Amino acid sequence: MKRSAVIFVEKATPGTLTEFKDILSNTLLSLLESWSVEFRTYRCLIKNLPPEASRLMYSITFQHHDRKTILIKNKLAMITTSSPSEVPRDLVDNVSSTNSPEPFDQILSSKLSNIWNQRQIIKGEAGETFETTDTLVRAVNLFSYTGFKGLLIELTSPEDATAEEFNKSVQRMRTMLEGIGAKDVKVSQENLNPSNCDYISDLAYQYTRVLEF
Amino acid sequence: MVQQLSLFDCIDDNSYDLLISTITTLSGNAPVLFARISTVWKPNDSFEIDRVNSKNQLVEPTRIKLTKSIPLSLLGGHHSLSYTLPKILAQDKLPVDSNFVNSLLHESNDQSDNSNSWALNVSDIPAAGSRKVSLQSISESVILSTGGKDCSITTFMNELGYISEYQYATIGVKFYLRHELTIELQKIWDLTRGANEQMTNGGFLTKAYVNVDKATDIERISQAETALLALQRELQGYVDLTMPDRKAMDSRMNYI
Repeated sequence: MKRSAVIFVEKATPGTLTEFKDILSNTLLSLLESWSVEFRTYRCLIKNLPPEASRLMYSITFQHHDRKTILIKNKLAMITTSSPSEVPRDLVDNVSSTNSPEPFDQILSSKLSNIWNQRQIIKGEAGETFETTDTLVRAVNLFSYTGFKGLLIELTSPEDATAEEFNKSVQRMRTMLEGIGAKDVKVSQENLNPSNCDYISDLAYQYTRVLEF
Repeated sequence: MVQQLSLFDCIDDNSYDLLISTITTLSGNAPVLFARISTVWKPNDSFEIDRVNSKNQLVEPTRIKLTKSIPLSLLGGHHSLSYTLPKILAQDKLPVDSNFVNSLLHESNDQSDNSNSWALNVSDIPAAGSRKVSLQSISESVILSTGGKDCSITTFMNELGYISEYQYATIGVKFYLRHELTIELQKIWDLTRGANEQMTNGGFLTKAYVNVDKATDIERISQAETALLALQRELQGYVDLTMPDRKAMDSRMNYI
């Protein structure tokens, strides 16, 4: 089973990424494709929601994971795609009216904007992917409208990695980050539903855990 | 946002076989069976929802349609899977009933082996003005699955502020013609709240349409209109394809 973890270094500078790449080079096997991610926060505009109900919903769009957009609300997830090649064959044959489905955010921001108001968008563009001896490391600087937000690192284990092996890799990454002075980091390895792990929705949930402000 | 250009008509059960053979000859293609289940959702009535967004733009509450395919193996039974199937099914209640619909709507990902994917769409009212064919914008996205503890499609739609309103099954055949024209002959069953009732008794709803992926592609839209009108002429005498009343195609709340 592929496992994932997300690390966010809030007290970083855009240069931290360069330092991180330097120390990563000791275990680097190869450089892989570039990637990008978008993280949006929505606030519910319904007036008479019960006071205890959460008003926040997140959408995370992974260009590098088949253009999937995952919505996360209250520890629940919905996985959507805007990639024509990801649309299941039976939908194409029986149902679809289009060969190019829209990103879900487009529907939220047009048809449902009377219920859901987009509050902020954080983007990571031109991220780099490093294949190291034990994990796949993706690193990117995150920006919002107001400027630099921090350094984000996405870790993916090999298919056959055990939980202990992966924990060790995550720990190694934390030690490396401490080595370059990045001490105050947020890490999430949580599963959305421990009884039924799902790589992509767990990964999206981990983004929300480290990026919730 | 896809632009759908369409024309509609109804034909009698008796005219079905002749129309099938006519379109088969015309298109050079055999009819293809299809079956889908559509579930329509509306904003939860118990919520106070504005008609404007935070930028003070008018956004009228609108229905959402989620559609998925019905495996033909569930419908065929001992009948052959040919173009005669919709007519045979029409003689009786549908083998898929509201229990089947409920299981699709309420099964969470951990419980189900079925594919949990749905096409989600929101339609605008068709364009106004003097036109010869209906022109409607449809926003469509694809839901692959839901995740989290006991999360069904209903759970997440409820989180979005929507509740289930009605459900129906559409079973029929379609033909793929030139110029990306499609003709569908449909039988429709209402499956809402335990119902299992054919709404197209004695006939078929006939729909001819072309989908154009981009609203800005004026040239394709005009080609599509020409193709539809040519088909209208060619099929005259067999089926009288006409433009539907745009008000009947409006999926906003408070209008129907």
